[in-house]
Amino acid sequence: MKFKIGSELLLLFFLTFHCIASSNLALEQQAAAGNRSTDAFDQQVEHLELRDESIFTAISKLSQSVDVAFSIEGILLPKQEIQPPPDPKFSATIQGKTLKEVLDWLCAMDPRYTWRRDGNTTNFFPSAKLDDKLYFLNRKIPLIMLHEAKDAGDAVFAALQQLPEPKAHLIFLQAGGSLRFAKLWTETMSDLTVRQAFNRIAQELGPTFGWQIGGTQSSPIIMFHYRLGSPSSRE
Amino acid sequence: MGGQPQRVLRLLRADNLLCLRRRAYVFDARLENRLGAGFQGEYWSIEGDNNTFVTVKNITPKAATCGIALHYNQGGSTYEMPPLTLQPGEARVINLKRLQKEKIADAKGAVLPATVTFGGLKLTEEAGGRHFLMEATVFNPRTGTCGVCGFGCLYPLSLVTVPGGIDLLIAQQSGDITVNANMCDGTVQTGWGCQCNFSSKDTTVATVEALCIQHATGVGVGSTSLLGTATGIPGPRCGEQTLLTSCSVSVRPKVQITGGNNFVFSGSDSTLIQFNAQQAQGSPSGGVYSWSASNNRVSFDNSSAAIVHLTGISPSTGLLDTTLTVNYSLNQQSASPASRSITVRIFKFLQQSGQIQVIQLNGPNVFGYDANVFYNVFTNPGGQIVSPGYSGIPVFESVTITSGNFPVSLTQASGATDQNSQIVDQLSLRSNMPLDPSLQVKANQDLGVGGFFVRNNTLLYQASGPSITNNGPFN
Repeated sequence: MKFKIGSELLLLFFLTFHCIASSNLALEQQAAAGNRSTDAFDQQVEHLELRDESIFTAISKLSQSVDVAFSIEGILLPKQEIQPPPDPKFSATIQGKTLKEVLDWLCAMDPRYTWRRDGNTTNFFPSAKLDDKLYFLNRKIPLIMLHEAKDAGDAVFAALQQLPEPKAHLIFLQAGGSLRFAKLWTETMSDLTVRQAFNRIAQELGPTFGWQIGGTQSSPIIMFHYRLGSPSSRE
Repeated sequence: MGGQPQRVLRLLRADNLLCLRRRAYVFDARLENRLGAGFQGEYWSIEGDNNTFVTVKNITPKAATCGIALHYNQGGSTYEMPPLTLQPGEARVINLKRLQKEKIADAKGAVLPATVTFGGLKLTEEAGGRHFLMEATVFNPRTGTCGVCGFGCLYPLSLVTVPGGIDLLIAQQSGDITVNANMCDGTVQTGWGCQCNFSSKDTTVATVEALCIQHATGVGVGSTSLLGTATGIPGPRCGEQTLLTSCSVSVRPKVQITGGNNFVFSGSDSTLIQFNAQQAQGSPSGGVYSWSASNNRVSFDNSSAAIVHLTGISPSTGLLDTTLTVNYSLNQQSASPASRSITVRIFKFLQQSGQIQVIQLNGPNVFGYDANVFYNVFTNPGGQIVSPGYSGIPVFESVTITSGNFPVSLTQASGATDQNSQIVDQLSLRSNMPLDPSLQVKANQDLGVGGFFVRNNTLLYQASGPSITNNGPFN
């Protein structure tokens, strides 16, 4: 995606972690006193509209506006050369529902995916993998001992190293930003799935940090993010 | 009493005082001619304050010579002046008291004794006479004046300080404060400071030295006056008088801009606003500050504070095109404003600093590499580098993985400038197995600083290492 460079004033945009001005987004949080649970997943989503967009576009918009982490596992292809089919697009609107209800609504539209909550993290993964015990992200790590891990990559490979056989191959990709922990991380965790371990690693970076799995079946790639999508709008 | 027919003026024992305005002779009505009866000549007296001026004028068309003799001791002694030759129309004035005081010898080499105080005066001429007009006037300057600025008795009408008013800072000493006198004849005399004793009306505001040339020193903020009193100075009727004068003094506070840079960053990020601090210090403390800017490029969080944090609203079009001014007032006195010119800088572009630092990871547990790319941050106007010391400025990145089969291709990363004000961008490709040599991942990266887009890169990850294509902006 290329961006054109406009005038300096048009390039002026500010980081906000809670809302994006977008006619397509139309996402508003209603904070009615006495009408709102403290659980982030119970917060009201005033309005969410899809205009010939995939559910991942909607998830990106949600990621920009709520302080919930979103992690998505792609449907991995056998080889890199194979082009993935385009994601199904939808035009639909939902309003006045909780975040939980909106996520259910999205997965109902695109049943390829399902979602599960893990603390402050929403995990989207292929529905077909829900009960696949061999799917490496479903596999359990009995004991994870982290010793002075400096960044997310350190922690990922330390956790995978403690995955019982067969080991899982994973590539860690970082394209800028900082994935360093605020301080060296020493932690012991037990009986977590690989997915849950990755969630813990992301949450150690911050409450909105999540991850994605892309790549191929033989070379899956994990990439952590601060948020999905972007607040930028360049002409 | 007889006399020369050409007498100009002769008035003795007048019933009334005759007072003339400017440079006129004045007469003491109490003067008494002590010449003996029958003396043929004029009376002269230099007794006490008396003096006699003898004026002789040649009224003929050619030079003429006369002789003037002073008779004293009841005519028993004579002081004969040397012959006096005057040209046509020439007049000569002879100060008799001076003859005695300066012991000027007569034609015979004798002086007018100091004990001699009066006598008669005669003028002798060449044959034919009528060559001269003569006037011998006795006067007493001390008692003869009658309230008019006149001959031998100049007195001041008023005293004025120079300058008339002073502005000082605390502990500051003024320049010279001198005193001029407006004299009764319309002239102005300087140097009357020695005649004045000065004091400060309020020594908590200012003090003054009691010297011929005065100096005031500021003590505390406020206004007061320095009062000068001159006693026993010449006054009307050749008497004495006391005159007053005053000099106003204002002691003002001062203010300086003591902290902050000659620039601020554009943007509303809280980190930037903290860097945009400006500090003023007023002296003495306890006053009220008031900040302002010469344009609308900046706003102040609290324009009445000593320390203000500016928000850069719009970037400068030229260096130092915005002037900050701070006023300070205390006890109703205002300091001279302090000002500083600043530039409102906007983050504009990056330049890679040095080579990409690639740290190869060769197992046994992790393979691949970590690569650190260092960027210097530049601002406009002027393409100025952000110097070290501005760490923590938010850096955001939007990354679009153009190949990699990620469900969401566009993601957002976050970071901040380091202590060198640089962006250190980490590009990593790690694996728990040796990387496939054919592995390639492409990404498009937008970088922003403080909320402003500054760089677009095309990233290519390969097993051997990353490559970066800079797509600008470049300046």
